[in-house]
Amino acid sequence: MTLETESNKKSELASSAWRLIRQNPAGAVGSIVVFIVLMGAIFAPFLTPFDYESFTSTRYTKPMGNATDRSIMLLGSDNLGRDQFTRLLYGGRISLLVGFVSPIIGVAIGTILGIVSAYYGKWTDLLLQRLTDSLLIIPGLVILMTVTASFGFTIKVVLSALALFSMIGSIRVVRSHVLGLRGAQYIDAQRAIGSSDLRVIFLHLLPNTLPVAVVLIAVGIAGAIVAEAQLSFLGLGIAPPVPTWGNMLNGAQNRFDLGPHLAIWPGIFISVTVLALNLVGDAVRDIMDPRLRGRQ
Amino acid sequence: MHQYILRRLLLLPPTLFFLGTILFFMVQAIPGDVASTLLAGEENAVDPKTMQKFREELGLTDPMIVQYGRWLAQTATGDLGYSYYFSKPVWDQIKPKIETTLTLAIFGIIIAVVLSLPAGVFSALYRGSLFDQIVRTISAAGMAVPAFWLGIIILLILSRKIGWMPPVIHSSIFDNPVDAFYRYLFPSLILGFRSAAVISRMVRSMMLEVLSEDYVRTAWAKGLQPRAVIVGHALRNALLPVVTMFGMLVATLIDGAVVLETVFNLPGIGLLMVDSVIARDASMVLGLVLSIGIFMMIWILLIDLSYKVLDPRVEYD
Repeated sequence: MTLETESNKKSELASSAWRLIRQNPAGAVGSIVVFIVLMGAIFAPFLTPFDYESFTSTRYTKPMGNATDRSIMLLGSDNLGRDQFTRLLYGGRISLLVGFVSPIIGVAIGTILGIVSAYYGKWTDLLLQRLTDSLLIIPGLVILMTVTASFGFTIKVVLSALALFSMIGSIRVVRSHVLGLRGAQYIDAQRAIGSSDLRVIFLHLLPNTLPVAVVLIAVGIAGAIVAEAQLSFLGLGIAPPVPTWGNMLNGAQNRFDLGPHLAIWPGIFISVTVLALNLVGDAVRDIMDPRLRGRQ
Repeated sequence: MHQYILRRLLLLPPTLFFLGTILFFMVQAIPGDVASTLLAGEENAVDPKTMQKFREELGLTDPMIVQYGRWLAQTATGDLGYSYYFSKPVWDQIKPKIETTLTLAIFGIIIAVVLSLPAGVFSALYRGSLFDQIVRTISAAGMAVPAFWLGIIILLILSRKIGWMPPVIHSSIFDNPVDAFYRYLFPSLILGFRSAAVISRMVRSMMLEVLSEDYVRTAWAKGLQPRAVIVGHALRNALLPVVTMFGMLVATLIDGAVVLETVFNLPGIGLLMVDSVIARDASMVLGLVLSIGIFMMIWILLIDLSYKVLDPRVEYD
């Protein structure tokens, strides 16, 4: 009996997964690519014989050229003789870490603040809205640069800056969503039976806001990866020797003669990952909120 | 309407105040101060006593709150302060750079509109066609490829094919028109292309929505010319939400200008921002971000007001 229900469940899961893939093939392809990139970053030490910091060959070895130990370097070496493929894998660790973690933190805090802002209204709302308004008008990269200029060019600072940025954006979205919920009957009913504010917020408003938060995170990851890449490319993000996809392109335009491959590959990694993440983000949005389908 | 404008204008000062306050305290964290920047350099060994005296003269030893008050009073009169790194008043350093960035942005917007409107409209009209698929693929790619990398790749191709690289020393348009042309053309193209990727997608989905509306069906039923239905009835209504995007689009353009001015070595606001952040010149960073903020606030207000012109149904509460 139990076996049967279990196998039923499994086939149900498989068929719903299959339906998801059929409905959204682009999203499925996107998730596969994202998965591969993530695995590449996580298992970097097993995928490459080289170390990302040590000098393994002469400078500017061409792709498929030989390292000093005669092994083949897939994507050649950089201006210091370090293996580019290895650095891309390890760089992916930082880029993806920053890209995934900062929107999650930012949207989490932003969701709470957005709910609080909409639920309590009055002064809380006014203060929070002025605060978000004043930061929202500044273009993202400019505000990020200002933060890293002030607090330093480290992973922690870049991560916090990006989290702050996605927080500001999500407060506004969550607030307007919750303003719509606030008038709903089940919230009125909770008030009528005397539920505490905390109870209403955490048991009723938060669960109903989660789909919005998930979409914000899904869409935010790609943006965070590009933002980190831009910052680090300008030399205002995460500073070398830690490799990130962005800082590997820093100064690439001064080395066209010797290492054109150094200008090409990090960008391909960024673009493919971001494209895949965009596809996944769109799919998540479609699944979570069918009303938004096809928009923007 | 007048009340709405007045209320929006009244909101500008508090928003600016908040922004300025956050920024002021943030840039205080920048290590080193004006005194050390000025006195360090050639002979690193500066007498600590001289340094202390200099700091007192500049008011850097006052409590933070006093410095904040002084900065606030100064900024309220429209004075953005003095940049010790550039040895110029902040505004004098910003002013000549505006033209470059504005040129870039205007060409970028023109290219974006010229590319995205027909692309969006026709891919909606011929939904599912080969054209539609090509437009959507290019637009997805355009959103994924970072502007700075596109810039680098274009430079790589240019340097290979015609041996051109952006000059290290800035020359004016009149001294070297060819260089200037390249340096403006490619960043504008990249800015325009990337914005077009976003806008065309929006235009397409709004067109699809509007085309299934009753009033469009009525327009067809009346036997109007296709042109009149598509441009006069459908497009006009589809573009309304697109205009909303133009507010934020300019923010994207400024971001794009920051990286592309760096790649193509164009002396605009973006490159100035990067230079001041690298130099960690607090007053310059503060002044720049505030100026950008004021510009953005006015721009977004104008966009909001333009709804009324475009859609008479819009009521401002």
